[in-house]
Amino acid sequence: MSLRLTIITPEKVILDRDVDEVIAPGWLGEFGVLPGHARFITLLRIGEFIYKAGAEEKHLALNWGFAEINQTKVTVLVETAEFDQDIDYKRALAAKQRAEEELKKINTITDAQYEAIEAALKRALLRLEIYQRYSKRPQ
Amino acid sequence: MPTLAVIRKRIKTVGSTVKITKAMKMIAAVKLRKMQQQAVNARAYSRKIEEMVQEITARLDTIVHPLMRRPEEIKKGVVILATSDRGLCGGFNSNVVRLAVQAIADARKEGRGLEFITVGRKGRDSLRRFGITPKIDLSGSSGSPDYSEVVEIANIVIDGFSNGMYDEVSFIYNRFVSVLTQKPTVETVLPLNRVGMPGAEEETAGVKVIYEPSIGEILSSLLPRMIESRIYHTLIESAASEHAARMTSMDSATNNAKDMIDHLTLVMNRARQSAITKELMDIVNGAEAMR
Repeated sequence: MSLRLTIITPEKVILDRDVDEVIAPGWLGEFGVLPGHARFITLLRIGEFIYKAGAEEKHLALNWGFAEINQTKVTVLVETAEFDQDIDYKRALAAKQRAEEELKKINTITDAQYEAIEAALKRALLRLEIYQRYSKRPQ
Repeated sequence: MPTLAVIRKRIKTVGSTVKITKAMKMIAAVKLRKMQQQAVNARAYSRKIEEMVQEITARLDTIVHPLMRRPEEIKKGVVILATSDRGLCGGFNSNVVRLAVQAIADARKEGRGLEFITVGRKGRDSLRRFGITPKIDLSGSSGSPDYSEVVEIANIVIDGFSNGMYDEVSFIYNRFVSVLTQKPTVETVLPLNRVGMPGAEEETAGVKVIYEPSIGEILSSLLPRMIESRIYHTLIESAASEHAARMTSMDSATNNAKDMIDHLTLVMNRARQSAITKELMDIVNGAEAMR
C-alpha cells in the first residue's frame, strides 16, 4: 500500500504521485505519515516538508498551508512550496537581510507588522537552510 | 468620384488596419487559451478548499467565525467591478458598467451605502464619470490576474465584512459562458451562501477526525483562503471573457475591413476603367482633329 501525495497551490497542482512516507511541519510539531494513518486534518507551519518514494527523498520549503490525511491519501494545500533545487538562494538571502534590517526598527513597528516581518524572516531562513543542506548533494 | 490615387491610398490604409485587427485577434486567442489553462490549474485548489470548508462547517452547529455572520439589514455594500485595461473588446466593459450604474441607482434609492473596488482601468474611468472614486483600484493587469492582487482585494473585503463595515460584498463581472458569449453578472461573495454554513450538509459518516490545533482555528484559517480562491477564480473568468470578447470583436472587425477592401477595389477598378476610356476618347478626338 502506498500513499497518494498531492500538493496544491492556488495557482496549480505542483505534485501528484505515489509515495511511501511523508514528513510534514504540523501546527503542533513535525509529524510523519505512513500508509494507513488515521484521518487527520491539520494546519501546517512554515517549515520543511519531506517525502520518500523508494530510494528517492525530496525536500520542499513550505509556506502556510494545511493538510488532510487519510489512510491512502495526503492532500496538502499551500500558499507556496518550493523544491530544494528550485530555491533562489540570492533572493532568499536578500529577503533575510531585508527582514533583519526591518527588525532593527523594532520600536517603531506595530505587532501586525512585526508578525509579517517575522514570517518573512522565517521563510527566508528556511529556504537558506534547505538550500544549503540539500541542493549541492547529487540526487 | 474620388481619384484613383485617393482610392488606392484608402485601400492601403484599410489593409494595414486588417493586419492589426488580425494580429490582435490571434494574440487574444492565445491569451484566452492561457487563461483557460490557468482556470483549470486553479480548480484543484478551489475545489479542495470548498470541500474542506463544507465538511468542517457541517460538523459545527453554531456560527463561530465573523465571516459567517448573516447581516439582518444591508447598510453598506462593496462591489468588486472587473473590467479590462484596454478597449477594443466589443461590449465587454460597457455591459458590466451598465450593471454597476444600475447597482448605484438601486443603492441610492434604498438609502444604502455602496463602495467600489475596481480591477481594470476602464471600470475606474467609467465610475469617475459618475463622480465615484473607487476605494482601491487595481489596474494594469486585467488580462492576467495575479494572486498577490487577489490577496489585496480579499484582505479589504474580509476585514470590512468581519468588522461590520460592509454587510455585503459582491462581484460585477463578465461570466464566461463560451467563446462567443459572455454574460455580465452580479454575484454575491459575502455573506456566504448556504453551502459553507452550519447544517448545510448531512454529517459525513461517523468517521472520527483529528483536528490540529482545533476545528475552529482550522476554519478561521480556511475561510479567508476560500474567499481568496473565489475572487481569484472570478478574476480569471473575467480575464478569459475579456480575451474572448476581444477575439470575437477583432474577428468581425477584420471581416468588415475585408468587405470594405472588396468594395473599394470595385470602385477603384471602375474609376480606372473610366479614366482609360476618357484617355482613349482624348486620343481618338486628337487624331480626328489632326485630319
